[in-house]
Parts: sequence; C-alpha cells; structure tokens
Amino acid sequence: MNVRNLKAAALVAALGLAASVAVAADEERLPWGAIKAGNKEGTIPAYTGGLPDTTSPPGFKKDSGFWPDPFADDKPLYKITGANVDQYADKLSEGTKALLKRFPTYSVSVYPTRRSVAYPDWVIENMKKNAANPNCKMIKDGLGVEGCFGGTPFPNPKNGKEAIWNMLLAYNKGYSSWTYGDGWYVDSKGNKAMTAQVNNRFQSEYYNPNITAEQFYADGGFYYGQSNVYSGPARSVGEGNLLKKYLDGRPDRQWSYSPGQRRVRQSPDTAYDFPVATSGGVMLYDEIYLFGGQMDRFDWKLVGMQEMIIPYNAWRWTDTPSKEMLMDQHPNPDVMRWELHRVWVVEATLKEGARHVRHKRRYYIDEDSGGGVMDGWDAAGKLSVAIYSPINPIYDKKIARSASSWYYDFNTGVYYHSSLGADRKKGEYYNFDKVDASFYTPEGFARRTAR
Amino acid sequence: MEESQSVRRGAGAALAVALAVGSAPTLAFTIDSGSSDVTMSLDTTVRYNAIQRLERREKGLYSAANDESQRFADKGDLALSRLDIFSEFDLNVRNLVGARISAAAWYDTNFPNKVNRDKSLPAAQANFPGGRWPDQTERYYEGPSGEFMDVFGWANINIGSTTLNVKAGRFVWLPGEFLISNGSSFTYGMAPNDGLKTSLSPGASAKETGLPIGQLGLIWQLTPELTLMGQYVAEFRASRLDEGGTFFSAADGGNALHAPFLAAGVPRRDAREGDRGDVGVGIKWMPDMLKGDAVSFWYRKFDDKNPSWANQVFINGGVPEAHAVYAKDIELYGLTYNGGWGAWSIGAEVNYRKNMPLASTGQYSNLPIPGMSRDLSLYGARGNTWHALLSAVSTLNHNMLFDSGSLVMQLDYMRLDKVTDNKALFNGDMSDVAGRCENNEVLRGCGTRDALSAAVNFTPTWQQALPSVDISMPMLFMYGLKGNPAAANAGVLPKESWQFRIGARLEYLSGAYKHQFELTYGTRDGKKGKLPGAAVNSYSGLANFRDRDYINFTYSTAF
Repeated sequence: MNVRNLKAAALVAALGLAASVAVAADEERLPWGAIKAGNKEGTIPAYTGGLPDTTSPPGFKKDSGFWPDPFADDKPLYKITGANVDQYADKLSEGTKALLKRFPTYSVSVYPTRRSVAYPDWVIENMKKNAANPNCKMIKDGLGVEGCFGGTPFPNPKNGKEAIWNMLLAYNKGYSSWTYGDGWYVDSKGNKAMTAQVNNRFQSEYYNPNITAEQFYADGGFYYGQSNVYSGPARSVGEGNLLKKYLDGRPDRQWSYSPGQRRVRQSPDTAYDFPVATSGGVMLYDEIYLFGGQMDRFDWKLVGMQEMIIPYNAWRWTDTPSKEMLMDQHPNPDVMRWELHRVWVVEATLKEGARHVRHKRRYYIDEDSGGGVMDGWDAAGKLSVAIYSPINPIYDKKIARSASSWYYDFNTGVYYHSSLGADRKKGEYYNFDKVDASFYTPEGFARRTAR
Repeated sequence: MEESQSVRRGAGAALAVALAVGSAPTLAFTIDSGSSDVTMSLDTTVRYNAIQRLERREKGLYSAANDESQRFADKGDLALSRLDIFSEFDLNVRNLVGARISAAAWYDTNFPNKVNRDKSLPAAQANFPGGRWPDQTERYYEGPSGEFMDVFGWANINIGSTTLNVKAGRFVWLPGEFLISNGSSFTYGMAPNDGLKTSLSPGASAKETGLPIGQLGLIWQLTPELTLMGQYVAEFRASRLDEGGTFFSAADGGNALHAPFLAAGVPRRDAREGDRGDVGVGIKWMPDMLKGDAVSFWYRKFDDKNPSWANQVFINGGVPEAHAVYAKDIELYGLTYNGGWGAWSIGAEVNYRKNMPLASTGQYSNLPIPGMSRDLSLYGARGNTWHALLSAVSTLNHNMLFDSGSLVMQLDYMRLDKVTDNKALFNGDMSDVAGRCENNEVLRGCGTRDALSAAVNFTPTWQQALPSVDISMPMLFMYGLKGNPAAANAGVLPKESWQFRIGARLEYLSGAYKHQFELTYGTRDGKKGKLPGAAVNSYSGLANFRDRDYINFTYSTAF
C-alpha cells in the first residue's frame, strides 16, 4: 500500500461516497457507457478493445464448453486480508470488508486490471442506435422498456432504474445458452449441501440477430426465457421450471412440472424477498443474478461511478470443483481473482410503506459488463447480505459472461453458490443453437422430462 | 394361484431391493455412458412410517360391521410400522427417445398375522372367517412385496414444424387443474389411484400414489399456441381402496373390496370390472392475448376406476352375494383454465358427465323389476352430472411469524343434473322412492342435488432454523360445506365432515442428501346424530373415523 492510495482512501472516507463519483462529463465514453480512459494512477488501463475472438490460451478448444484462463500467468499485485483491509476501505464493498474482518482465512488477491470484455460489432452498433434513439426508453415507471434492442439500452443512464435495466439487458449470456450447474450451500458449521443439479437453457430474443426491434416488440419483448430441468439430487430428478419475462411490463410467468402427474402448471408469483428454496434461505427471488425482479418497491438512485475491487476474469473460479471451492465458512479465496474496476453505483431504498427484508441495497455494476457486487441491509441498518457475480468473458464469442453468483448471509453465516459447473464437467454452450418457439411453452418444457 | 402370486411378489420386491442396493454404493447416479447424447439415472427413495392410534373406541362406532377394523389397533397401539422403497430408472437419448421403469417395495413388520375379531360376537357375523387376511390385504399391507410401477417408452417426433410426444406403456397422466384430489377434475378415472399408498405411506409422492395404467398418450403441439392431446387406454386397472379389518377402513366389509364377507351371510364375489378402451381427446389453447394463461377442452369416454357401486348386493335365486361394480361408458366434456391472478396461480375446471354412476343402494335380484332398464348388474343408478373445481396456490413472503409460506386451496363442487337410469336404485331423494332420504339426507348418507367442499393446505417454513435444518409446519384442513355428492366418488366431502392434519417437519441437508423427519397429528369428524325414531347414533362421512385420531412419524430420504 503506497502513501498515495492511503491518502486517497482517507479523502474518500472524509467526503463520503459522492466524492468518488466525480468524473469529467466530457470523458470519452465507450458505446456501452464505460469510460474509455484509464485512471490517473494507472491502476485501471484504458480500454483497448478487450480480448479478441481469436484468443486461444493453451488448452482452449472451440465449442468444448470450457474457457481456460488467458491470464493464467498473471501474479497478484497484493493481497488484502482482515489485517490490512482498512487501507483499501474505499475500494471494497461493505460485504467484502465485513467478510475479511470476520474470517482471518479469507482474503482478496488483487491482480492487474484487464479490461477483457468485448462485444460483437452488431451488438455495439445496437448500443449506438439505442443511445441515439429517443424512443428507446423505460415504460410503466420502469416496469418495462420499449424501443431499445440488441445492446445496452441506456449507455448514458440518467437514473438508477436505467442503470439496473443495463444490467438486466446486458449481453452476459449471449443470445442463448445451455449450462449445467450445481447449487451448493454451506452452513455456519461448515456442513455442505448440494441442493440442485440444473440443466439450464436460456434464450433472449432481445439479442436475436435475425429479428428487428419491431419484430421483437410485436411479440411483447420476450427478453428472458429460461428452462431448468433437474438431474439431481435424487429427490428432485425430473422436476423443472420454466420462466418467461417480457419487456412490455406484464408480470413474469413461471411454470413448474409435477413428476408423477406429468402436467405443467403455472406457478404462483414468487417474487421480491421470497427465498429460493434451494439456497439455504440465502438467495431471494429478486436477487437472482444480483437483481432479477421488479423495481417497484424501492426508490432507485444512480449515485455515480467509483473504483472498486471486484471479482473479475475469474475463469479459474468457474473451473473449480466443489471440493476445492467450498471451505467451511467461506469460498476458497485462492481460486478467485479480483481486480480494480470502475463500477456504476446504484442505491435502492425501500419505499415508505413497502415491505421487503432488505431495506437498502447498493449495487456496484462493472462499467464494461453486467456483472458486479451487491450489499444489502436489513430494517435495522445491519449489513445482511453480500452478492458477487464475477465477470469471466466468453472470449471467442465476445460475451461478457457473468452467469453465476455467490451469496453470503451475515445473519445466518450461510453462503450459497448458485451454479458450480466444474463437478459435472458438462460445460457451458453459448450461442450454440436456436430453439423453436415451442421450446418455451409448457408442452415443450414437459417434453424434456418424462418423470 | 397362490404360488404364482407369491412368485410375482418375490420378483417385484427383489427388483426394488436390487435397484436400491445396486445404487447404494454409487448413490443416485447419472450413468456416464461415454456419450453426452445418452443419459441414464437411477434414484431411490426410502421412507419409514409409524402410525399410532391416540383414541379409545367410540361405542357407537363399534359393532359386528366394524369390530375387526376397530380392534386392529387400540388406543396407544401401533397401526403401522412400514418401510417403503421406490426406485426409478430413466433413459434419455438426446431428448428424442427414452424409457422409464420404476418399482416399489414395502414391508410392514407390525402387521398382525390374524384378523382381530371380537369373539363375543356370533361367529356367523365375522367378515373374515378363520381370522385369515385376504391375499390382497396381506400383500399390500404387510409384504414384504413389490411391484413395477411405470414401464413405458417415449419419443419426441418432429413432424414439419410440429412436435409429437408419444408415450406408450404403463404410466399415469393426469393433466388437470386439481391440487388436492381429482374427483371433480376432467382427469377423473384417467388413471387408477393407489389409495393404499396414500394411507399406508404418508409422504409418498404423486409418482407413487398414482397407479400406472397401460396406455398410449399423445401430445401433439401444432404451434406454440395450440396443442392436441389424446389417450387410449389398453387395459383395465382398478383403484386401490382401504381394506376392511384394518385401522384405515371404517368398516370391515362395506366398501372394502377384499373382505370375504360384506356382511353376515353375504359373501363378496369377483368385482364387475370395467374394460380396456378408454379414449380421451383434448385441445389446449394458449393464445398470446392470454399472456401465458391456457384453456383446454376435453372429451373422454371411459370406465370408472373406482367402484361406483361398491356394495352391490345381488340376490341370485334367493342367495345373496356382493359385488363391487365399476361403471362403464361414462362420457365427459371438460373445460379447464390455468393462469395467474395477481400473486395467485389459478386452476379452474368445469365438466359435464353423462351416464355418471350415482350413489346406488339396495339389493336387486335376477328377476325383472318394473321401471328398471338395462343390465342392473352393471349399471346401478346413472345420471348426468356437473362437476367443477377451483384451485389456487400462493406464496407468502417473510413476515414476523415465518420466513416463507405456501398456501394451496381447492374448492370442489358437484351438481346432479338429472337421474337417467335406474332411478329407484339412486340413494337420494331424487330417486322418488317413497320414504327414501326424505329428511336428514347428509346424516343418512344420501346423495343431494348439490355438494360443495373446500380444502386448504398451509405450510409456513423457517429456513436454517438450525444450521442446515429447515423446519416447516404443514397443515391440511378439509371441510364439507354443502350436501353429499350424488356421484359416489365425486371428491366432495359431505357437509360437516372435516379433516385436520398438522405436522412438524424437519429437513436436514447434507451433501446430496436430505433427511426428512415429520411428526403429524391427524383428526377427522363429521355429522353425527340420531335419526327420527332411532335409538342409536348415525355417523356420516368422516364421522366414522372420529375415534381414530392418530400420530404419524415419517422419515424419508433419497439417494
């Protein structure tokens, strides 16, 4: 830790978060709204195009479902632990600081910042179109979006809700994906439970390169289709669920399959702070992928930008099996790569009279992608949750992947990994194929499980 | 017969045990076939149940007609100590073709060797001469025994832009909107029901409580919005009901299809069963304007899987004998809706059934009876009926009392439109038989024109109440609001009959396992009272179980 950083930390601490937001308005921006230049200290480099789609580190095999770490030779610049956390206080989320103070075994290894995210040309073109299109806007008080298509909708977000929509519509899973992940939680005593083995299919017509914005919105704006079929644990094999989200502001629709009766029924509207059953009570329905619900119960404020140390370029983390990943009280810090990046800071405060277990949330969203970090506080103002959605680009397809998250619950000491893919070694497949429209119907869904 | 049955029994049990033991070392596994195109999985559920009776016998519920059932377990006695194993094997080739086999095995170490008859009653009134259990009872209650459940193959076939899903073999398919019971659903009788599993193995999933029936099932999705469905059933299988002489049946012989005697001097003979050949066709429509909601229409023609006239007494030249009759050729027109309403998921159904078997009564002889039509031995009273259900599910978010909760509700309604055949056998006022059901219809067990009942299932949950332990408190309450259903198995509770269950469930998770422990208290009651001029009480519906409160312990896990 050098003196300059210390001074900066002290300054930020004195002025509060707002001080760190000072960014020159005429700063050159990238099509998705990120600042092109590096920082003054040189600890964040200027953006130079990200990883090219020709990136091919040793061991890389196209369409194998695995992406070796192209920065495997990088060495950490420094390591933050509970002992020196205060020196980096202005660059860490409240959750990260609390974890470092709570566990002497926990650490944050900071690597050189690599702005690895890149987007396909057609997505970049769409981002520019969205920025220039006055009809690309939120509707129904932020419940939906219209006019925007195929790229970051609001490269110059004017408020918190627009910044959240940038995250919800980020190109972080491509147009379609097949992924195979296992959900694990670890309780405060170190007991580990594998609660779900999911075969996940995702598709977003928002990123369908073969349709126009008009065609997309004519169908209501089907931007999120997801089908999960369980292949484990034994008690859950053959169960499944289907989720459809539209941009026109209609409520999300979910269906579930009942083994034995072989029927698909619409599920009740599980939303807001309903805990996901497989998460050990840690993950709430509107916290899937940092945020995955409706914004109506909170007031959203775009605080600005700041520099923050967040999980980034964490391919090794993605490839770590559960045995090595899951330590008794926290995930294995040695497999995680952290970097200093600029993040959009969005604060959500529970509206007067509205009900939710989180009374305040602060999102730190990576300027180059939709991944990032969240802190959540309860009614008493106590830090209750930390969420991390690391960014590990699918470099050969230029997808800013942040498709898996982990959660720490400060009240119960339980932590949860939503999707560990390394145990089954089945890989992840992005923009691999297209399914027909009946795939995301109850019948199409029922065809994929016979139990 | 005896021998072949025991061989069959042995084979089934051996299979389930072999599947279970075979899978134990590797646990639940997805077999690595070396090809990502082929997946296989084998999973096994193990469940132990114990049930203890908590209440003393009620005098009015003790007679020659239910002495054996009452004496099966006295207050404080174990009524059940049973192990169930259920194994499932699935094969899937690229979601294009596949097969599934499941098998069940069970053993109740507590089951008595002999029927416990009241020896102070005349021997002639015994429902079980010699105190021997019928084979059926011994096999399904005591075991050790087993059977195959699902055995079918399936394929997804692309025809142009459409996809046809075909299933052939033994399986259960119940695509209705019911959540608690399907008596009011258009799916009534699409597959028989294993009522024994429901009673004897609390905690059994729908995969175990439905009885697979040999059929061809087609789901042909023409467009994302429009789907055609069809069913052809290639065999007859009857639902299983609680057997007489056990804790789970109110009566020794009545409605208990394998007790040798229905009543003193009335032996039970082979049931008059239905035939193969049920057909059903349906169309489901999910138009864009409904935003995810769906409506469907079904036509079915089928034979009843439940005994629609369980206690038919046939006077054959002066000698009475009893038969259970399964009604044939019921026609059904059904409409369903599934969708969302605010935070609720809603299901609704209305169906009209022609030639529906009605609650039938009395005896008949092989002599012609004026005013009766058709073959009495097969028909009983028939009529046209309306059935409707409304089901709803909602979730409750975190509040002061619990972390999360689920609420499941179902309303069941039936209405007798008209009696079409054998009116004189209808056990109701509309039979026009002088004096029958002229008052106290519910207490007399008479079918009424309308019947309505409600069921609510509420489960609050406390997640991580202890490390890796979720605690929940499932509660079930069912109540008859109006009348007594005119159709025998309409799935509507008689007025004032009710059932309440409350449990404490503890789920401990470790690795890929969940160990689930549950303690449940159950109680039932119904309308009870003296009919005009009667010296003793009459009991209707669940009042027959009002002295059988119980406590049930369940442990289950899967690997």
